Amino acid sequence: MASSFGPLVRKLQRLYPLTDDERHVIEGLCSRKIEVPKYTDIVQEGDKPLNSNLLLQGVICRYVLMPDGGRQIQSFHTPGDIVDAHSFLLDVMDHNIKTLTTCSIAVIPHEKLRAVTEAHPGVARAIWKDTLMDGAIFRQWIANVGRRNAFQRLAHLICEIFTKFEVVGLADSLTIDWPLTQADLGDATGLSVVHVNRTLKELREAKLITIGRDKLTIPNWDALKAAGEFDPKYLQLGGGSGDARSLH
Amino acid sequence: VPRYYFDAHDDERFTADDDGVELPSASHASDAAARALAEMAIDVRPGTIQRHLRIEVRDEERVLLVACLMLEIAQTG
Repeated sequence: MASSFGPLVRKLQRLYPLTDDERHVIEGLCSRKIEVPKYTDIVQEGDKPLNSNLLLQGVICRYVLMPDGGRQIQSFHTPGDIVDAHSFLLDVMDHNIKTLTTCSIAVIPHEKLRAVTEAHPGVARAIWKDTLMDGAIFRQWIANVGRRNAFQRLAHLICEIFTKFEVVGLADSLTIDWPLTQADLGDATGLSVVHVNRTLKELREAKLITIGRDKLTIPNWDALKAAGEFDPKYLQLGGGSGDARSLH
Repeated sequence: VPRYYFDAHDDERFTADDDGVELPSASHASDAAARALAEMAIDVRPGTIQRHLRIEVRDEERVLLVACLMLEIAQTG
């Protein structure tokens, strides 16, 4: 399992300095690895889970369903994310979590999480900080949806997703896997599919992105970042490990 | 499920829809055009006194409907 925990360890390492011992403990958290097909709910509203899920491969979204069938996506998750670390301490799930691609997931029993966090405060703080980062991302999404226009909103979202892939070593230069549909983007940004379609076309015409065959490329990172007013500091990637390597 | 295409005009600026969107019926396409017009309008261009937004909805064969939104600001004093 050690190697498949790479993305998580790599991300936590950026958030919080881990000792070799703590890294080892994190790698031992998983009880089993599962493959989940595309578009499967792994957690549903009302569930009382006994496990948390670490995403190893693929993309996952967190969402709520509205009474009229509409969907609001509240976050996208990339490899290295414990998508429901909070279910460890919350009594009941208030939202759903769905795979958007075929996913490889490491199942972490809450029992094990309890034992490890009690014995290793450093691991507890690293996971705590990771959930605080989720909170920081939600705050950015609220600002994004509430205050930016469609062009800025999509540019910001794309910058964030790219950065998350980049941090765990899954960006190929300026290209990442891109499984998101226009409906997914619309449900995440509060825009209709028609408007997302038109706005993506504007982003392409401005030479800020190219999308093709499940890949997204950012030809000019600085220009996309400026268009989305993207400042990665809310992702807290610089401080933990003392790693001064700056993102693009 | 039928696929509808939403070609947009924002004053002289034209954006053709090459991808289209799958929707259950023409009535859903009509609602989607209205919503998209409102979304285009919400991004106000500073200094605008007149703006004409238009969306033409077509299927694979023909234009099915045209939706328009006109913004006009008149000084009254």
